[in-house]
Amino acid sequence: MIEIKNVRKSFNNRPVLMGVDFVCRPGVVTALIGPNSCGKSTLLKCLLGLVIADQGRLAFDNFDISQGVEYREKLGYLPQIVDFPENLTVTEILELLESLRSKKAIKKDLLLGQLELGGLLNHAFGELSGGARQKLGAACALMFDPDYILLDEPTASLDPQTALAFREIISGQANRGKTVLLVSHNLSEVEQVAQEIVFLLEGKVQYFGSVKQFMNGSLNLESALVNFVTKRKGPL
Amino acid sequence: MKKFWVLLAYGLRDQVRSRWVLAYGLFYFVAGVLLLQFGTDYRRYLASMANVILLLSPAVSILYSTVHWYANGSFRHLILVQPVSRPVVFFSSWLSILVGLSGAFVIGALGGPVLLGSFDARIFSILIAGLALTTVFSLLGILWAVTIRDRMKGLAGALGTWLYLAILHDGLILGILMMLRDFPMERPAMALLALNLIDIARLFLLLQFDLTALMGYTGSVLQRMARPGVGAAVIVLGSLFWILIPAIIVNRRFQNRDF
Repeated sequence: MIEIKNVRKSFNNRPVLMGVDFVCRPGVVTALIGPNSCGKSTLLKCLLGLVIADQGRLAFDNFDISQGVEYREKLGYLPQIVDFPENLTVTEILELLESLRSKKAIKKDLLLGQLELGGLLNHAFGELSGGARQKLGAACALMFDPDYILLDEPTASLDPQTALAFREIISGQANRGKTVLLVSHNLSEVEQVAQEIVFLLEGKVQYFGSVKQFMNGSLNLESALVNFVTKRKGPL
Repeated sequence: MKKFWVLLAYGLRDQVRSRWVLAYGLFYFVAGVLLLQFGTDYRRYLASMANVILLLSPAVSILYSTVHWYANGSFRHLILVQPVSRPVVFFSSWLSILVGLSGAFVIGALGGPVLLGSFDARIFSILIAGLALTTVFSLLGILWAVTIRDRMKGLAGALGTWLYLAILHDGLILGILMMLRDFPMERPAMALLALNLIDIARLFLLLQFDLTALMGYTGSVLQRMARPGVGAAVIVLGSLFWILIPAIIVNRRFQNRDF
């Protein structure tokens, strides 16, 4: 379980996160949604240790992240833009990441097959297309069979077929009891894979609960979101 | 510690394959060959190489490290979310840049004399000065990249730092010494000198060879003032200051930075 409790963060006295609370449960895909600059990326970076929260508790199965970096042994992260040194080959990148963990990359071969990366192992990262880079990022995020999976716009630069395959992989991970946090602007994707959503607006959680409950009879998640915001703040 | 060596090894693989690092080494090799082939004597070769190194090594080190640090930002984020501490990531990243540039410089600068059979132990003084400049200016480049988020502003800051330390500082000291020539200026001049690693490297080379006329504006003034004991103290203390202080500041900024 990922626990986020009363997390606050300001940049140059400008509050970005103002007491954010929610939990991500194992076996569930939790989607973090909200407009641009609402604090989604900052919150994700706080969980990853890239941004240091001013206040609050961020914990992975009761391990407070301020205690050390050990929790990252069980963490898989896929950023929006995957970037590695241009001159390293795919094999070298995978070996590098394997060398930094005590766990074996038990899912590596399976993922390389599923994501059709087998033929690119000796290619330098600089020679890969945008889609291939994203697939490599996905393989890096999942090859250690992590307990917590954090995804930032994971299918943004994937073709429809690969995006579909990747969504199936995400759902499969949750079905295997993994804790998945997905940050996405793609609401149809969220509707397809997430069971719970956190709607973040101006640094505060506006809704945290099940997707079904949030939709409450609406045609899709997008219209449900418009209805929700309209009720709260008046017409957009 | 194992993770540090792993990151350093992979960082070095990236550096070794970089065309910019290769071009840097090749430049010193070609410069060495040309200066030895067309120069009149070995002293003149040493003076010319010293001048090239005092100007070029700081420029390449600061600009390359700034650009490289910005360009690898996303990769560094991916490494920072692995179970690795921030000091390990910082020092391995910096050292891979430093070792890459230093390797290219040493191989390039030694290549010419070795190839032409003109090797002389005096070249080691030039190598030491070049390595010290590479160490400090690579740190200064990273300091800009860690401090300023905007890539263009960071690069402009790095370029401005090089311009000041390579050209303007020298002119400033000369102006002050000329204005106050009637006063005893040995100590103030040495203090001003220690504020610039390029001048410290120049002083170091000056004390190794008798190259006054060829060593920049302040060369002759420095030689008159720098008695061997004082000069050596300025070199040792100045170099330590210039290596330790930027390393401590950059490391601290890297530890507390939000990415």
